[in-house]
Amino acid sequence: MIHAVLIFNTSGVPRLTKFYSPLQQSAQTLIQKIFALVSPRPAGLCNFLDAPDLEAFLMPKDGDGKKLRVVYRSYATLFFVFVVDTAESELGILDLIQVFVESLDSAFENVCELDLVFHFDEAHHILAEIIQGGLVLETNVQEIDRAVQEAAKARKESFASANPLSLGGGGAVGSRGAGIQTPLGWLTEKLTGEHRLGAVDEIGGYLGGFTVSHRHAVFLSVSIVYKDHLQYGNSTSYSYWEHIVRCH
Amino acid sequence: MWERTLQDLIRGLRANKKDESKFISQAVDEIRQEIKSKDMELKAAAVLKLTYLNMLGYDMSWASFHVVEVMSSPRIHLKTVGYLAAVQSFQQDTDVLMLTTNLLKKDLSSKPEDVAVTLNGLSHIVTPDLARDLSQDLIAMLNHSRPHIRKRAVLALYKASVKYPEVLSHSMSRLKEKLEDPDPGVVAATVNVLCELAHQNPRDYLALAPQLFYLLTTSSNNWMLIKIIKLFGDLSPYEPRLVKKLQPPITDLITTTPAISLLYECVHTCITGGMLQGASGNALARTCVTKLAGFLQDSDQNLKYIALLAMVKIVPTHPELVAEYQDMIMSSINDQDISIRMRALDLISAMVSRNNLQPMVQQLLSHLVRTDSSTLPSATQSLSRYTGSPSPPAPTLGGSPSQSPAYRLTLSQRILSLGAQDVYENVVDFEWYISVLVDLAYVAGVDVGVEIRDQLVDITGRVRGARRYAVQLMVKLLSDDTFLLNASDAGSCAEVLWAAAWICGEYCGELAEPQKLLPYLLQPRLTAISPDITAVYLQAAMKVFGFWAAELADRWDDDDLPKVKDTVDMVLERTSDFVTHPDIEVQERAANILQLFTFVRADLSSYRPKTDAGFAYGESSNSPVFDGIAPAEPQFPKSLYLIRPLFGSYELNPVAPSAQASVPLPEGLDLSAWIVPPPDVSHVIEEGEEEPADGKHKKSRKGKGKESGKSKGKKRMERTEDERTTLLSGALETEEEKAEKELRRAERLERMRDDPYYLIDDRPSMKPNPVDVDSIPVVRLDDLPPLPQAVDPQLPNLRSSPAPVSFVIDRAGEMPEGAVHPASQPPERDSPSAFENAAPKTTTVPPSLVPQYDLGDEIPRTGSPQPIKVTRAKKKGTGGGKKKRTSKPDTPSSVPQAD
Repeated sequence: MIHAVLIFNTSGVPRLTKFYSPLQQSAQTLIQKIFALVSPRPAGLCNFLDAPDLEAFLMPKDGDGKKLRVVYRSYATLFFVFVVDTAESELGILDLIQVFVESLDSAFENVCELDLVFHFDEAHHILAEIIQGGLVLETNVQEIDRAVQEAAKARKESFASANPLSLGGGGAVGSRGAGIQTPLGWLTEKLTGEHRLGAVDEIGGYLGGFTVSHRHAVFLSVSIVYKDHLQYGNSTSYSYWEHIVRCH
Repeated sequence: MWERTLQDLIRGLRANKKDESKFISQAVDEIRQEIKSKDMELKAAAVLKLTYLNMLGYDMSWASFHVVEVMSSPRIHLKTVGYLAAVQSFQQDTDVLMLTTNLLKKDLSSKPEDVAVTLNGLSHIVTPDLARDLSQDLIAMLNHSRPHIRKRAVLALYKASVKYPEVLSHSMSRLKEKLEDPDPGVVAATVNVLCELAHQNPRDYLALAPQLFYLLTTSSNNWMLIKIIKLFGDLSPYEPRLVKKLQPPITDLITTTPAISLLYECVHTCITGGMLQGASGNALARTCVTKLAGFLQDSDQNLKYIALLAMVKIVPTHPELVAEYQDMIMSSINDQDISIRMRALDLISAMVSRNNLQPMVQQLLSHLVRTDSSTLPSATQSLSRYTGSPSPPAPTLGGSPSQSPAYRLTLSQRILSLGAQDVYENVVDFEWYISVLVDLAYVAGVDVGVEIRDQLVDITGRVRGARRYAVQLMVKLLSDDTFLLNASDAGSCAEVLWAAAWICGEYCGELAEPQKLLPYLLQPRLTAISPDITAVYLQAAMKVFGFWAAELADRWDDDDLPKVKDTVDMVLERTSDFVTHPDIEVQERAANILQLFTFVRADLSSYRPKTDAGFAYGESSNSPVFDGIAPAEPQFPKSLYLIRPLFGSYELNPVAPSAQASVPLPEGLDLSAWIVPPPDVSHVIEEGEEEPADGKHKKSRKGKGKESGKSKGKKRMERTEDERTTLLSGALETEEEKAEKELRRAERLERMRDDPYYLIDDRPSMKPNPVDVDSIPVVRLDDLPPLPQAVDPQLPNLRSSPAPVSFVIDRAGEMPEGAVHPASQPPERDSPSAFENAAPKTTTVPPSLVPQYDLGDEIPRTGSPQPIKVTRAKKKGTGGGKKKRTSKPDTPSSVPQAD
């Protein structure tokens, strides 16, 4: 089964953490350890982390003999890390990461790190449509999209009925009208409207027999400035852009 | 109106990067207020913010009740927030979980959206209690009209069964039905769950094989196929007929599928499922290995990794197939990717043989050499290089993977275990291997000194042919000032000096001029290294002197007298520094040396050439060391023979693993009788309580029971067996003693279970091979060319006799006399362990004493030897059976003190 799904950026700041089995140590330690091992690895190396430092660290203390393995993939400024045991296929998990990213991409339309920052709850909901309790729930991107949208629609309707005065304030909790600087309805529009799925219907990689394109990597970095400016207020965008450039 | 939303919080965090903790503590204060609000929207927003902060490492366990409140909201957009917070923050022991049972029950019978959220949440937070109470609801969910819910219910049911296994017995039939669900997603989820279940308990799921087989042959969903294949990999070892049935479809998949992950899974299952046996299996194995070799050559590193992973599994059954790709695998060791290196290391360990050990180890060793030199320097070269140059650079962190300490440690340990595999089965040339060990000590830079030490001592003990070379190398090590200088650094492998000192001391007979070693063994700088090494140095110095002095006496020339005197003076002078050493062990040994040598010095100074009429007493014929000399008129200071018999009387041999078990019980020894009758407390408690006092009592107790039937051979056996035996002079047993003996016997038996000294085999280097070494025939190797001997005028040279060129490994080890050979032992075993060799010398009688120091007219000599107290010095804290075996009786009690 899958024991953990982690997303952190190139500075090691967690963007999404999900643990499906009780932790042996604090989540922060685990992230830092994995980050320290993943971040210096240049592109082109294999996506399985198998360092001797990690083995002692990941070994479950109860010693039920299940060896854990770290499978990771990096997209632009983000590392997607899955910690899995031997019941999962290593290559399969690589493709699952791709499925996850594509689902995020179609939900957020060219997803970038900031989408995950500001909508971490939404990212969790999407992940919940792919993995439940450490087991894979669905692997079909279209099916996942459909389920994500359904759930988002239900939340939106519920929100609208509770706040009849708000003009489609989105599924996100806490969009409380006054004082909101983000353009209203962005998320709702995207999730309910006829948003493009994009040309991402292939399940890339080892399952379909294709090699994974670097399309996302390109999109992820290019779309940041645009989105930052438009959707998250530009007060901090410059420094953030700088930060990203430095990370590259 | 000032409440922050999650977006505000995040924006604030990003704007306050410099003073984050202050900002967050302020935010948490706000959250504490908001979370108590009656407004559910506000409460949910607070919980959501808290969940975000939780991800960054801030505690939110205090808010768990509020989380449950939000979970209970009827509005889905709030409920979702509550469940998300619960999933992220609840632990198994979160107390509010007890309150959620009814809430969850209600949510499970609510709208489909609620059910989906609840099922997802439940799979995370489920506890045994929740699983028990909700199992009926979950099972009912399996027939929900929406496939999305059915999928989730199947997975949630699995999670519940993990916590509360009885759920399964109620739901198994339903779960089976789900394999035929019209929705492919539900089938895939069911297969997924079955895969997890069967992994833990394969037998129970054999009945599902037909349905799974049908899915395997009809489905085109690669995700599910992978899981089915994995599932069959778990099942087939329990149902041999499955293997036959599976071979055709799997072979078909391997040859046709374009999906690499599926292909790999098929290959993997073939290997783990035992499908590669028999004629058809061999063909399949070849196909698998060919496919894997294709992966190995692929530019995609992931495939390379996977291929290595699978090959490790295939090597045990089909080594010859993998061996074809040895070069390719060896080149993977050089990969820049540490993950691939690690897998390649595993694979190499699995495929090592007599033919390829040498190049493999050379290549691994070259990784440890920091100066990226591709050619490996020989031991001699590296030694001379390091002796001349300043200390090797400290290990730099980062950089290439070879520099990571953890990797270096793994690599070093791998080299050591490659060599030691099956009692050095694969080592052809031991001189080469010893030089590898020494090289490793120099280049490793990680803490493997103990392992190297143990192997060095083990090899010199087992392989007579390699002793000469080992001594030669060890002399160089001892004389390497740089090594000693760096000995206190981390990863310096200073323990190798322990082995060096011990080997030089024990086998100094290989040296032409052993006395030249003495200044190295007694150098004042030793105080900087670990006390247990210093102690071995001192002991070695004594052995070396003893050997040299006895040699000198054998061909005595009066001109040697000043030389001996100088040496003795030097030893005395240097040893006196160690008498005040902070470590008690060193102190004691130094004091022993001091006393013995003071005696020797006194004898030497009283020695008058050619005026030695009073020297000879007839009793010296008792001692075999005198046999070669005219007994009546020894022409040398007799004290020269004082020390050698203390050490050289018995040869130290490796002890057979079953030796301890084969020691025959002395007659009249009843080990099960109580020594002290058990107090009222129950047996078990007493055992535990007495544990700490163990060491204290042991010494006095040991050996008393063994008095009867002790023979010389017995003594020798006991010493090599590492029994701490006190041989008492034949004291008469009184009634009390008898009773006491009885009691102690039982107590002793009790202790033997936990006593490390009763381990059957205490050689650490043997640890990786729990195989029955007795069944391995002793191998004799011939026709090996002798290595050229490097000549260093500064150092003591080896004796000029031709070096033996064949290496005989004493694999079996020594057995006690009269022991019943285990059945597995071949009777014709050519055992060099040599009872015979040592047998003639089995007396520990010290040579006769010079008359001036004799208290009586004559030492009474009867048929039985003078009682000698053999005290086994125990060194604490430094591990290893090695040490135990190497300890010597320190002082014969019958030697009168010179002062």
